[in-house]
Amino acid sequence: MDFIRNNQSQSPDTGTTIIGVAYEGGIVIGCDTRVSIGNYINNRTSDKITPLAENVFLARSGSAPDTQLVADYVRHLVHQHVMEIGRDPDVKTVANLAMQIVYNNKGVNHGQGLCAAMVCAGWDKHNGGQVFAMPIGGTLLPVPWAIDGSGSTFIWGFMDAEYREGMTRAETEVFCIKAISLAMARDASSGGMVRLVTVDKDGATRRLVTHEEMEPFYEELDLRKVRDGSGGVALGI
Amino acid sequence: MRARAKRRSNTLSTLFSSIPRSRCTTSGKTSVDIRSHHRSRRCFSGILILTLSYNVYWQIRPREGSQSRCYQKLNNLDRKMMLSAGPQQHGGPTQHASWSPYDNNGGTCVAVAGKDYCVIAADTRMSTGFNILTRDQTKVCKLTDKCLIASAGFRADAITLHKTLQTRGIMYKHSHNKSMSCVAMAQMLSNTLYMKRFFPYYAFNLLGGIDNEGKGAVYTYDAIGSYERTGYSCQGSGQALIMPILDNQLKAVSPLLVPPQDGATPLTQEQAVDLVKDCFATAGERDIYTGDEVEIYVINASGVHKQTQELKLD
Amino acid sequence: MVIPTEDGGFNFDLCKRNAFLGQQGVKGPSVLKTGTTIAGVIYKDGIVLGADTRSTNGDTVADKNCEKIHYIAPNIWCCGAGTAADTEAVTGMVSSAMELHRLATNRSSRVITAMTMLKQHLFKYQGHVSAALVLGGYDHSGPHLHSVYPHGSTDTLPFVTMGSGSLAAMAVFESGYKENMELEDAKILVARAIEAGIFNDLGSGSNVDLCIINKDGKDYLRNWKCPNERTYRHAGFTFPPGTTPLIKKNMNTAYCTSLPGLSALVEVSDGPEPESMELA
Repeated sequence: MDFIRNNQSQSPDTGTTIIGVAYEGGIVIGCDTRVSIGNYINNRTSDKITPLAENVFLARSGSAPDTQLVADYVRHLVHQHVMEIGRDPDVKTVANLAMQIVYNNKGVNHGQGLCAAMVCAGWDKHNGGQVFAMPIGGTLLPVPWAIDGSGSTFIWGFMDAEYREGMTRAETEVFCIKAISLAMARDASSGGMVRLVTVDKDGATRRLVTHEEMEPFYEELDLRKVRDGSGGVALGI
Repeated sequence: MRARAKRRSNTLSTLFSSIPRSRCTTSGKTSVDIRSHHRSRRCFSGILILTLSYNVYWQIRPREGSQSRCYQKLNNLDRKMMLSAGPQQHGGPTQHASWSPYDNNGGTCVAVAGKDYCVIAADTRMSTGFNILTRDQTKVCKLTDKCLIASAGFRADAITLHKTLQTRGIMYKHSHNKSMSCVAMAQMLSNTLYMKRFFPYYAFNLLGGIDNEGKGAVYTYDAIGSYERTGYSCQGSGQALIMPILDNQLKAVSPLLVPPQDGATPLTQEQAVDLVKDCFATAGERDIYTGDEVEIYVINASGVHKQTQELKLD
Repeated sequence: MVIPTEDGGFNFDLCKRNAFLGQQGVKGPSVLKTGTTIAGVIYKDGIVLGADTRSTNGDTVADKNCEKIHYIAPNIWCCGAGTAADTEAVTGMVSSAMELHRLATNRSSRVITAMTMLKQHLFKYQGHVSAALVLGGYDHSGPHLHSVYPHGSTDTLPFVTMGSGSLAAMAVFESGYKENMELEDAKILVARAIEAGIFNDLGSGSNVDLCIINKDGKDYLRNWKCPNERTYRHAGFTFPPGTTPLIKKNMNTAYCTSLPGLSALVEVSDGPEPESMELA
C-alpha cells in the first residue's frame, strides 16, 4: 500500500548484478535484467548494458536516472571525439570520461550527488580487451574482472575461486552467465534473464540468456524440465 | 536507494516533533523514516489521540496506593497497547516504526428519523488506503427489534463494538424480560465508548430506531461517547458531502429550545428513503471511499425492512 | 535594486519562507494529484495509449472526467500521472519545443527527442517535478513506447503502465499481452487494463480514454468506455420562490439603464416573476 502512495516519490533502482571479464582477445560484459522500485519490479527485461561507442560498453548499477544520465552524457562526448579522430575510441578514454562525470558530481550532501556504480569494458586495437571497474565515488580501476551491484556481494567467492587466466571466449561467457545466475538466485533485487555483450577485434555481439538456458541453483524450479514435461524441481546443481 | 523527494506531511511532522528520528529497515533494503513516512491521513488522528492520551495518562496517573476510577478503568491490555503504541522513548516493546493499532476503512452512514419511522443506511465498501478490501461488508448491525447501529471508521473496532452492544442487549433481555429501549441503548453506547476514553474505538457511530413513544430516533456520536439525539445525521468519509444536503433539505431543530422540540423530519418514509439514496449516489460521485452498494434499513411499527441500491464501483 | 527579468524556470524565492512556516506547523495548500491509471501497448501497426479520467485532491474527486492523454506532436502523445500541474506543464513545454524544432528542421518529430527532453527536464528537478509519464508515438522508424519516471529515468518496453493503478493494469498486461496484436484486440486489452485500475484502485475512476497512433495518424477516442454512470437520481429538488428571502432590491430597470454603455449593448426591461429553479 505504501508503495502505491509513494511510488512517485521513489526513483527506480537498478539493484543489480553486473560483471565484466577480460579474456585473451576480448571482453565479456554482463548484467541481469531487473529494475525495481521498492518491492515492485517495474522492468523485468531492461537492458543495463549501454553502448558508449561501437567498441565500448557500460554496465550500470545504482540509481536508474543517474546512470542513464551519465551514459547519455558520455555517449554525447564520445560521439564528438569519434568524429574528431575518425576511428573507434580507446576504451580508457571512454572509461575516463565516465569517471570524470561521476567523480566531479560526488554526493556531498545526501541526495545531491550521483549514485552510480558501473563497469566499463571494451576492445581497442592498442590495448586489446580491457575492463574498468568504476565503483561509487568515481574510482577508476583497470582490472582483469569486475563485479558490482547489490548481487555482486554474493559472488565474490565464486569469482575468486573460479576465475582463471587464459579462458577462451566461450568459457568466459559461460563463466559470466554462471556468476550472474548465482547472484540472481540469492539477491532479491537481481533477477530475470542474463544479458551479455562480447567485444573482440571483430566487433560486438549481443546475447540474451533466457530462464530455460540457465542452470538452476539450490531447489529452484528447473524451467528446462518444466518445459519438456519431465518435472520441475532440481535438487543441487 | 536514495529517497530523492521526501514528502512529509505537516501533520505528521508536527505530531512526531518530540520523537527521536528513528529508522528501521524492512527486508534489508528500504530504510523507512517515520517522519517522512506517508500514510493515510486518517490514521494520524488515531495516532494523535494515542500520543496525547499517552501523555495525559502519565499526568493523570495518581500516586501509588490511591488509584482513581479513571485509572482503574484502563484494563491491563489497554495499558499495554498504549505503551506499545505510544512514543518509544519511554520503553515498551520495540516495534515497526510505521505500525499503528488503527486503520481507516472508510465508508459512510446516514440516518433520518421520521414521525413513526427511522431510516438508517450505510454503503458496503470497505477500503484501506487506495485499495478496496471488499465491496460487500455491511456496516449496519441490528441490536434489538427496534434499534440498529451503523458505524464507519475502523472496521475491527466497529465489529468489536457491535458485538459488545449486542451481547449486553441480550443480557439485559435475560435479566429484565424485555428488550432494551432505543434510548437506553443510546446511553449504553455512549458509556461503552467513554470506557475507552484513552484508547478509543476508532468508529463513528449512528444509532437509529423507534423510541418508547413510537417516534423515530437518531443518535449521533463522536469516537469517545459524546452524543446527541437529532432528526437526521451522517457519519464517515462522505460526511462533508452529505451533511449539507441534509441540512438543506431537512431542518434541524435546536436542542436548546425549551420545551424541547421534536426533531423528527416532516418527510414521508418513501421521501426519506429517496433522499438517502440520492445522498449516497452523490457522495459516491466525489468521495473515493463511498461506493459499491448502499444498504437501507427502515424501522417502523411493522418491524425492520431492508433494501439495497447499487452505487458506482470505481 | 536590480530586478532580474530574464531568469527562466521556476521562482524559488518563497522556499525559505515556506520552510520556516512549515516548521511553525503551517500547512501549505495541497496540490491536485491525478491518482491515476495510465497505460500503453505496441500493437501490430502502432501504439494504443489509455488513461482513466479521475483527478483527485486527497480523498475527494476533483474532476470526474479530466483528460490525461496530452499532445506532444501530431504523431506523439503522452499520458500523465502525478501532480496534475506538473504533467500539464512539462508536456506543454515539450510540445512547444517540438513544434519549434519541426519548423526549424522541416522534419516530423521523433519520439526519442521528446523522451530525451522530458527525462532531462525531470532529472534537472530531481523528482520535485512529479510527472510519471507514458510516452507513445509513431515516427520514421516505427512505433515507440516509453515510460518516464519523475526522477528522469526511462524504460522502453512493449507494454507499460504508470500511476497508482499501475499494478492492477500491469497484471492485465502480463496475463493478456501478445506480440503483433490487431488494433481491436489492443484497444480491448488497454481498456481492460485501465478498467482494472478504475475498479480496483481508489485513486483512479470514471471513464476510459484511448489514443491510437499509427502511420496514418492519430485517433483520439475520448471516453471510449463509460462504465461508471450515476446509479440513482432523485426526482429533483424544488425550491419555491421565496426560499431565499428578498431583503432589498438595488438592481432596478432604472438603475441598469443608467449604467454607462449598457443600454447600448442590451435592452433592459422588467421581466416576469422567475419560475422555480430546478436543480436535478
